[in-house]
Amino acid sequence: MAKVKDIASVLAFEKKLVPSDGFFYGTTWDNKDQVTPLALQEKSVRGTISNRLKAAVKNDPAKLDAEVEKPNLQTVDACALGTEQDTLKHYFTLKILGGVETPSACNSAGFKASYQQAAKAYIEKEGFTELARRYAINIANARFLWRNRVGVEQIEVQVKVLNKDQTQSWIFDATQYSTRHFDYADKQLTELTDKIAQALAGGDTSLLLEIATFAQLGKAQEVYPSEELVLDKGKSKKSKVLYQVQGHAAMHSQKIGNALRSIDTWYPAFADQEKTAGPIAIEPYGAVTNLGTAFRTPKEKQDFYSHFDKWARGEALSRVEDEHYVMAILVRGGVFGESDK
Amino acid sequence: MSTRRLLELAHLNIHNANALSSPYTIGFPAMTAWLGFVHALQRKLNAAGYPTLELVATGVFSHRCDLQTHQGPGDFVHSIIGTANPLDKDGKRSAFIEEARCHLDVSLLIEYQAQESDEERMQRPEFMALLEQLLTRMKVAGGDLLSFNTPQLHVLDDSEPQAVRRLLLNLMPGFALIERRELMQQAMEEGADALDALLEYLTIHHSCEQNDTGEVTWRSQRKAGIEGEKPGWIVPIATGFHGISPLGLAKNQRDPDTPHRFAESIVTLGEFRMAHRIHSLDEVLWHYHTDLNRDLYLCQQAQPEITDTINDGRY
Repeated sequence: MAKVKDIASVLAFEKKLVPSDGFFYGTTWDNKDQVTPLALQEKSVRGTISNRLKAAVKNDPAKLDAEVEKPNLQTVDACALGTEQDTLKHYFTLKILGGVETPSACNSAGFKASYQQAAKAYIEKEGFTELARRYAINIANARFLWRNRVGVEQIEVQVKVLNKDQTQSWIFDATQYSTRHFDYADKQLTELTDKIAQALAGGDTSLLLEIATFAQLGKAQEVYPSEELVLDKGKSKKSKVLYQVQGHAAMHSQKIGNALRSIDTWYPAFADQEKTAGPIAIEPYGAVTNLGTAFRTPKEKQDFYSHFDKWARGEALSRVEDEHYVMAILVRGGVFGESDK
Repeated sequence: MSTRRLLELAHLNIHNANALSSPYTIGFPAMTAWLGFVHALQRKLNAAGYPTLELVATGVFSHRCDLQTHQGPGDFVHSIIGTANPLDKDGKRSAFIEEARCHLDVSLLIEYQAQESDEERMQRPEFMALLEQLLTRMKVAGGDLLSFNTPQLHVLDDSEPQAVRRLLLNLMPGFALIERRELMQQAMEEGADALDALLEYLTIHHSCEQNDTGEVTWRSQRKAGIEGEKPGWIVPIATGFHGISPLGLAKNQRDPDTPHRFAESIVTLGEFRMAHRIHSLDEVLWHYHTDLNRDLYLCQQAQPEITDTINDGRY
């Protein structure tokens, strides 16, 4: 049990991986220089009634006929490549900051001191290479394309350092890197890993990367920007609203961030053939939204808070992977204050 | 007249900033957010080897404010575009909390003062390198600072209208946020209560006229002055806090060593005025002002007594 004076009721960390929005352009694989911004198109379609019906309707043929004859009119946003374009260009910048050893808000000097000691010890021991390597692989394998990555013939990821006086750049063939594991180590990856690790470990340094990805999808194929969450749509009938920035189709920065930090292979169910979800995003409870599952529950003592409370007060964790996980959460950022009740 | 030293931070590109500009309105971030950012920058610069540098006043110029709302065809109101938060520990969807966000492109004009030794060192390239390094790591109005132009230092004599003009025209196209507290004061002297005075300037009145041939023309406009002059692009804006409890200690306060006080926001009227219509720097520069007798913590402007240009409400 921790001493009461070491409880930080206000504790917050800023995110250290700061992606911009991802912007969508149409281009051709043979001439990647010529790009046009993609715009959203509004479509009105006549759909069918295809949802599950109540038993009363389902079992009465007359009622069923009446029901399915009704047109199901919908208005949706869509986005697609032009008829002469076979390649999606996805563009974003990524800022990587150091200084994870300093919380952005903390109201307990005692806690802060013991936390900083633990963080500095980790940085000295590990140098962030394991996390940086996984982030680098998630850049190289173009995981941040999400659905746009499925069924693609070729993907090329161009990474460039934008900091002043630096000219490094790399080109990755994303199809050579699986999104299911992190067992890669080639020269390019090592270089990128070193860059990221230096920035994360470097206190007040920063690294700015420009990441342009070309995915050959086929002419006029549909692409998938982020969908907007509009809870209270008023009278409008539009059932899908996509994200755009001044008319330019885009992907939310949060969605890119989630893909980049999908490095958690250390949760208990990972090794279980039936239950595994592959690498999942770094989250305090190991939450995967589209499965509706939290993979790290407090019951099993595998969630962030169970580990963090021990680790930040100077206790050693049983596995080095748990330390990686805790540090990855702090790189993700968040509000982790604890109630003194 | 006097020499002004200015630091220009042009085109701060801010992503997902907090757009709750006051407790009642969403839109451009509150003035307290901008001065807070500048104050944070000053503290960081002080700590990094410029102990006498003070950032005393700030002008805010908006080039773009992209509020994250959605208005479908036929909708009367805009609705906030939300964000989905991660699942809780049971794998259930956590509650939606509506938070207004906006993407901004903003320039800041910051007046600074420093002792001679610091002043001299600020002209060297190391200062710019330090400034850029600090800015890269900062947040603005709760949003991420994604990119910015190279900061610039200006020294100018503000009795030289040409020099001031050149500086301001650099910020075109852009709108300066200026304080229009006097509109509220006038309306309240005429007997309106605060909320009525605020709303009266924001309401759009629709009126119609019928001419001799029976044709009806509709006009929609905001409140105009007695002689028909329009007050400009008026927005409600939060400019500070009013303490509503004595200084003391509160449970779980953020800094245990500083006394805490509960406060409410002060909302008044502001105006976005295009940069080329600004003639003196005092019109745009905001600074902190505290009135401890009345428990007021304000961001305010030196109010120019008379503006010689008649504002016709066009931008």
